[in-house]
Amino acid sequence: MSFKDIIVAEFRFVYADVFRRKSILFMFITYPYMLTAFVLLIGYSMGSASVFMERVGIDPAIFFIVAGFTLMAILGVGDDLLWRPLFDEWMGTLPYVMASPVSRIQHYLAIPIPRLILVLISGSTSVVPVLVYYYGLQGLYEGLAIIIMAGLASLMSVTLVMVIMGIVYGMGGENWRIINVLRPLFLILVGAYYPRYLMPLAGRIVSWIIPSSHVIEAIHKMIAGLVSGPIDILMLLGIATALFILYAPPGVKSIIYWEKSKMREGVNV
Amino acid sequence: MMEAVKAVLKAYFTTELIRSRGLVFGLMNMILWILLFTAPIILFRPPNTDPSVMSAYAFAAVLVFMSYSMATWDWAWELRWLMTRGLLEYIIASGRSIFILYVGVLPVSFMWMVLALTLVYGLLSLLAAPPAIAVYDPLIMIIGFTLFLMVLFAHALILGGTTISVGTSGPVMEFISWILPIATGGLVPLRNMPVVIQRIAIYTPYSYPAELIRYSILGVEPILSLQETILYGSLFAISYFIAGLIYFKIQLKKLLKEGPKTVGMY
Repeated sequence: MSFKDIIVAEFRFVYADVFRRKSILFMFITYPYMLTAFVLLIGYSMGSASVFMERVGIDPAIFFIVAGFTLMAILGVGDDLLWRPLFDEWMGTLPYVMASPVSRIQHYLAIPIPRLILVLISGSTSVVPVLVYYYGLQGLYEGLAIIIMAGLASLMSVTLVMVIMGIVYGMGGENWRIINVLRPLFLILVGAYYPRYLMPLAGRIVSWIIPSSHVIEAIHKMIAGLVSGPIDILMLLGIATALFILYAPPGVKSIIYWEKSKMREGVNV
Repeated sequence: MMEAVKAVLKAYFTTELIRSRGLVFGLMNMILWILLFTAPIILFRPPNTDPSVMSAYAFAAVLVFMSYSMATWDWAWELRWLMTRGLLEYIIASGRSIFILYVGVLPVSFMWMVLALTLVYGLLSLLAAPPAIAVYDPLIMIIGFTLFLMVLFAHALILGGTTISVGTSGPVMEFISWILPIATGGLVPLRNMPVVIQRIAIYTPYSYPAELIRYSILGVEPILSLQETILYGSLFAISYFIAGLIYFKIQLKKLLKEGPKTVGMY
């Protein structure tokens, strides 16, 4: 089975599920709005939008709709990878996955790709309308750029997620509890909701080693109008890509470690 | 009967809190999610606003939000878990009430709630200032929390009933647990909300207990007079609770007639 075949199979698997359970599609579209409403309602009732703008340099409505969307983009892709081994184990399909001749590495690299289309849909129904409302045609271009960059941010997280996934699942035990802690920590550190430049030094350092955080910083710079030239954005995307490549070999080793540990111990059925 | 109660309590206590350091990991997970959404809210605080007042508002919002989550995920969703694990049939076959499980679920989830709120208090103290919470009116506080509990039970009964009859999916539950506190004034005092939301909120049972709780611990006046809030809140809570019970019994009968629905993953 070639890599292309695996991607096609994943596409079928994901979209059959999405069209069968339309609630997933509905949630993907409404989540950015719900998260925005949640933060804005509390924020406005306790403080003011102008204070937020002074501190962050971006209108809070724009900042949080973009934050909600990027969060969904990263979660949509990352979660699919993080939980897949566990879901397979709970459903009893893990023995079949392990027995299959398909390369586990190729399989896990193919998993996020279909979800990226959902990211496009979610962005075109959340970020684009809000930015068009605020900035007109310019907002449309900016919205499209944000969608592409959020897609990149979620893709850039893949190799790091593979490293984490392989190590945690390879350790055995009730590892979903650790995953449950790492997920929100990862989301905090990528800086979608709390910009990286406002984090304490320790937070900034840890955030720096996450590839997606650089793409998110590029998005923030763009919507704050702090980009002096394309080089600003390209440099951040370059750092993200370099980190993505850097995590690829340990990501592969991590998946192999998980696979070997499952072969050694057997899987729960 | 007592033996079953003890067994259920022990099972839930061990699974949720002791096994694999469930308590530690669970609390860490929860605190990080709260941090993710509360940290940016602090960026709205004007320099001249007392941070402890802002913390207190945030604490009240988290209290209400977590209570809805508890009713949704710990109480109603438990039935879905029983179905996916194929355990519901055994409970029905045992001849005992389906509610016997809640002897185990309720104490654990309340204990969890208290611990989580203590941590949230600590987190807000670190991020901004210790929340300025005081008991302004103990009687109103008791009434507020009693009505709140009734509404939460009714909420869980309706969601749980729907789950056992049609096998509600996770995303639907998630949507409800987010949208309800937002749309019914659970997070923010109703007087600080847009008029449209105020109008929607006062026609739901959810807004009144939240208003009473905020009045009793934050001193924020409800949008209606205190007497009206108690009167309408009580009527709403009692009718909602009765409606929830009737609905659940109907769904349970339907389940016994048709058998549990086969449900897939989350």
